Amino acid sequence: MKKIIYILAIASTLVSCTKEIELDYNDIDPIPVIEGHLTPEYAEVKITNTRNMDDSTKTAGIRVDDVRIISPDGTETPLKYQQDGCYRPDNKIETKTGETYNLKVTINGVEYLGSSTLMTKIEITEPQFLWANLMDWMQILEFETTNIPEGYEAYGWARIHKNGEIYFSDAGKCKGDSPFDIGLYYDSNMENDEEAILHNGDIIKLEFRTIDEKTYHYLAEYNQTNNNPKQFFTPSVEGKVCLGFFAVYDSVKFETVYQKTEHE
Amino acid sequence: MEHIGLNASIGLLSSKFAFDGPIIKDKASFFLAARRTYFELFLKPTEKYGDKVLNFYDVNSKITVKPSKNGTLNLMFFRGRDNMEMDNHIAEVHWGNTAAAADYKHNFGRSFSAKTSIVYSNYDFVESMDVLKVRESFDGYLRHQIAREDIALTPSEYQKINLGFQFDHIDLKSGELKASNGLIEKENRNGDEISFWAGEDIKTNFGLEVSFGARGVIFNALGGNPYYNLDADGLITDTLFYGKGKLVKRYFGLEPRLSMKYELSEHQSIKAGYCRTSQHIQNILNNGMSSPIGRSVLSSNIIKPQTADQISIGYMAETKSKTYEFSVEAYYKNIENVYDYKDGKNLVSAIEMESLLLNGKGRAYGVELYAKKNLGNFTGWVSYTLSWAENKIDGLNNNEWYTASNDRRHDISIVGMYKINHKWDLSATWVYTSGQALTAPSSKYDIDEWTHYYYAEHNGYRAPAYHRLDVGINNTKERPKYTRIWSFGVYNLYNHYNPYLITFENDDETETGTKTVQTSLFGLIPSVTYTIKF
Repeated sequence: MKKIIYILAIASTLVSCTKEIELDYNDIDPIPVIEGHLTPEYAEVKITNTRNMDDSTKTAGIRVDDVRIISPDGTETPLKYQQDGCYRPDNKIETKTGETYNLKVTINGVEYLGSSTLMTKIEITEPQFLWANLMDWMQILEFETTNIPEGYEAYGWARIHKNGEIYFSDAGKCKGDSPFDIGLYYDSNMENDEEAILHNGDIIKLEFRTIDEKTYHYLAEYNQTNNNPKQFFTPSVEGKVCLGFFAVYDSVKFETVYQKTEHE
Repeated sequence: MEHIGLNASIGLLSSKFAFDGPIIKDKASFFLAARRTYFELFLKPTEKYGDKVLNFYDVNSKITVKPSKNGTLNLMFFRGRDNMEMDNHIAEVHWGNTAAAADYKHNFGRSFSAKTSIVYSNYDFVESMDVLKVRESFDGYLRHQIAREDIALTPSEYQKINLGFQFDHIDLKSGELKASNGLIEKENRNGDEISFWAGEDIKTNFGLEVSFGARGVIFNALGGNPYYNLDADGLITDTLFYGKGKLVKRYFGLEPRLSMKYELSEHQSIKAGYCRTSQHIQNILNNGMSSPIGRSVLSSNIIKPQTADQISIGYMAETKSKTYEFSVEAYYKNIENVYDYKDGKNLVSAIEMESLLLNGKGRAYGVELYAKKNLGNFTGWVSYTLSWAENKIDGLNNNEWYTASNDRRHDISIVGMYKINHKWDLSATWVYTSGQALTAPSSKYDIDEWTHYYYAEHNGYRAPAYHRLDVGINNTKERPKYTRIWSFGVYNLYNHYNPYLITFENDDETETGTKTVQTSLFGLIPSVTYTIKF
């Protein structure tokens, strides 16, 4: 459904031009940002602050009062500060499909609580690069989900790294066993965006994470323009704001070397 | 109507014609007009845009029949369409209106007339796109089927009474998503709006004119499509099925109105008024953007009708020679049941519109100034509106008032026309509007290896102002049997790129760290038009 927005944007380019303008951004106090991951292999929580719009330096991670993951049986596992805002547990946290886990982060005396459920892992076919009909400079990485029962809806989070750098990240709904296209890839003279161009020999790594509905909504919403996603974490003090999410997931990974194919 | 008339223009960017004349002398006549733009002809030679389609057309027609001395029958048809296509239908957007109407008016003597009308109208849009083997399309429509009766009584030259009723069956498809791989989501709703009204206009012999009345409106939200119950978070808890045509929810509203005008002298008057209006169809702007692909909602078990109460006062004056006229008017409007998208949601977040919206209230107030020169070789007018439009919706903007997307703080128009002689005349129009309220980020954060934005205020910023100057010159030559006009014009003379869309791009390579990018549509557009009138 996001393609509807693409069509409007593309249609407007028929008669449009763009230019950079100045906008006097308002400064606000920093807001904490929590990024929590729990998988069968590892757990990590990264905590940072927001930064002003005219600040080009990425915010360093921050230390907070306490970080812990609460398992379904009530066991609380504290996570220890490592560096640059990262917290990890001493030992692996056991996870079980269908179970819900909580992340509790305490910052300046305020507790922020978020939950996430480990869903049945979605299996996929080996991804392939195909040409989009839309433009001769677009390619789509396509694969099919293979184990979603008919009539059932699952949620995936696709992330792609190109030569070790993040290249794509977005969440989508999967219904049944159907083709899943995860984005548009450029292979042409996109002079204004060198980072977007795929070159022969680029190492492409795809990770497809199976997430729950709540995480899907958060990830889908924070890619919107002109809008905030609904707050993921519930604060112990009403009105306190914090950004970020806590995702419990299992994933499948693929790696390939990009070679341009002839346009169909 | 005794003679056939033709008014035709052919120009670089568009052409139009209007054709009217008698069918049967004094009994029946016709009118036919059409316009067509062909902007894509200028794109054809370019490599980048050569296979694009960008045009608009409309056709307007009317047949008038007088079956008797006191009766008049009108048959009307209108169709207008905008088309945008690229790469041989790979991506396309179309939208437009179609309307057909028939009315019959009969005068029963001097003081009593009745008009019966039936109307069908359809606004629809469709956009579609090919991606790999999948063709995705999104479309919607709003249709009205109306039957209406207007009765006018004129007991004296000082009194006029209007009565009437209308039945309007509304059919709304807020959106349907189709994909060639089978994915289909659709939201349809329909309802009946029944309204009836009575009003009276009274003129006195001491300079006071009073107009008052009331309109009653019953709206029935009807079954045949799913309705929902939502929890406190706006998530769907139940899907409700009602039979086709079964009543789901009924609303009743009364809309009183009163306006008065008092002549202080032959050339000065004051006026004041109050009115209440309600509407059961609400168009929801997406991120404040007005677009032909917007989605609408119909009053339902969840969506309540929007009602507005407005008061206004004004003063009007003209010079003794009537060369100049001036007016000033102030208004205040209070609005209930204003809807906007929740944080994180937009028109494509879900097919069920009610799960995407929050309800609140609005207010609008302002003052309008107007001055006009009516006579002489130089004529024209100046208008200025200073206004505010604000909304307050729980769940948005920390539950505080925020600038509404339709707020236009300053709105200025200056129009001048100068007749040099009987052959040449000039015209110029300058418009200025404050930039649209804009939700822009107040800070950014790094998560999942990407930079994202945090929006502290809803519509807390403003886009750059919109302004442009259009100029034109006409050369008219009157021949014995026809008149021809050459028109030369320039739209947006000083080529100001007005904002259409504002986006934000993180750019940690630069000192500011953020690029604010404005997308604009048309710059300067010259035009040449040849018009002939018979």
